[in-house]
Amino acid sequence: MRGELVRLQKNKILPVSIAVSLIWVLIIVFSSAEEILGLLPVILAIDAGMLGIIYLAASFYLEKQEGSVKSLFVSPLSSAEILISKIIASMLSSLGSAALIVISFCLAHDQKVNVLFLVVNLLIVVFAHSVIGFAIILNCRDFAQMLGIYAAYALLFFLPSVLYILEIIPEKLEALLLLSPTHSSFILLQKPFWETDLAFVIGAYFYLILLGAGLYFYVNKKFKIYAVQG
Amino acid sequence: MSDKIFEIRNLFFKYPKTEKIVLKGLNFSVEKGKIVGLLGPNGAGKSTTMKILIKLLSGYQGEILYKGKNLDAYDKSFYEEIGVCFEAPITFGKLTALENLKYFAGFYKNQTDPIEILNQVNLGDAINQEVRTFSKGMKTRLNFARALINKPQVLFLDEPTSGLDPVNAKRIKEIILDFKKAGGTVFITTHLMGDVEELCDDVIFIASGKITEQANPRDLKLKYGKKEVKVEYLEEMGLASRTFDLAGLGSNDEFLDLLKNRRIETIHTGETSLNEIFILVTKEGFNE
Repeated sequence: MRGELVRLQKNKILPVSIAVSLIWVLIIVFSSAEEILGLLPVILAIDAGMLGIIYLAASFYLEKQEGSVKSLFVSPLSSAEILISKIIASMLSSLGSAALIVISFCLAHDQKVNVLFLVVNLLIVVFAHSVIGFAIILNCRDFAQMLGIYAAYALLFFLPSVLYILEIIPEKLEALLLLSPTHSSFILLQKPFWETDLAFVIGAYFYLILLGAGLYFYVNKKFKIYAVQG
Repeated sequence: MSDKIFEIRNLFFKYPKTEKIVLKGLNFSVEKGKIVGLLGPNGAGKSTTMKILIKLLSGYQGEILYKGKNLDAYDKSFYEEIGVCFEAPITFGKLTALENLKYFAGFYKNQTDPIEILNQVNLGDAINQEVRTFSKGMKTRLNFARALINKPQVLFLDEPTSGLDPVNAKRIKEIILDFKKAGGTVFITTHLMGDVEELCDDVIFIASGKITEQANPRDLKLKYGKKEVKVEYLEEMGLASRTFDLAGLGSNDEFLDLLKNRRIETIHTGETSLNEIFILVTKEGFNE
């Protein structure tokens, strides 16, 4: 686990992630509390979920390219241990970024948040997105192809939420949007900041946890074969 | 108790979603404390065999026994006993040589001092250097050092001297022979027949997924070598040569006359090199 974090640091993934968070911090500090409160769940979902997938892929493809991930598979570690350590490292990195964003929001605008909900919901969002990321990675030859598929994924799942926020998609269809991991993440990340419809929150919990668990079993099955080939 | 560390019986393998059968019924065994060379042309099935033996590939047919027990029955603790040196670099480029070895050592119960190993492979001056700045030869030696970090009983080495200068290649071969002396078993795949002659107790030639020859290098040379002696000697007109059958050489008058009455320049037996044997016994593989 410590090794994973050291490598994220050495491979400049952590510094880049922190730099991106600092951009969010600037936006938060120089916006009004009302403006940013509505945007904060979106920022967190983009940073922890969507960008988290890119950081994960960048780190994984680098390790695959240098062959170091192959070496882990001839060590007394199970495939699940290797996979979980990468997911946990990704979760810790995302939590760090989220902490930076939320603390700056609280300090700059004198706001309070429900920390328990924030941490739990962030962990669920990041876990689900990490395994979504791995599911995309394991079906791509290289980072370039992964980025292409990821762009299609983002368009498919991020765009409906944007259209919903812009009120182009009517409110009565929001239940359908729960099928989008991105939208379910928005809902969970709204919860620490304002009251949200409990049914939607429960639906988002179920969906992201079930999706994450299902994809985890799929990824764990394919992970070793993909990591050691080539 | 059997001193066989590996027994491979009727091993078949094909990669998922492909039709081509890569391994077609391999049968061989490896005794503890031996160095075995897996040789063959590119794509013959050597690396696949190695990957199956180190449990990187599954889904094979046949039986593999490690220390008399089915290989599939071993869990991750199997890796406590083996060391693997891949041909391609497998270390973290942004970490130093020492950081890499310390990182990998952390996974094992048995550990060797990383600095000691790095000194053994002549990387003592580069322990704090980032691996991405290493030459190919340095990376190869670091791969080899990583294979030794857990004090293994069995070593799997894929082209362990590839890209090394003669001094460092000699050093690696010395370590391999010391490992054998200490009771270790070694699998080597290489295209350097000189290394095979220096290191291997037994060689297994694989072509098109089948074993085409299996013996120790000396027996192979006797089997495929010409039983003759070639003598080069000086005549008035210059250098001349004659070839004699080894059979009855001691009573061959012409041969004895040459030795007594001519100035001999060289005498060679018709020994075939392993390179020639390689081409001969894997010909089928090249043609397919």
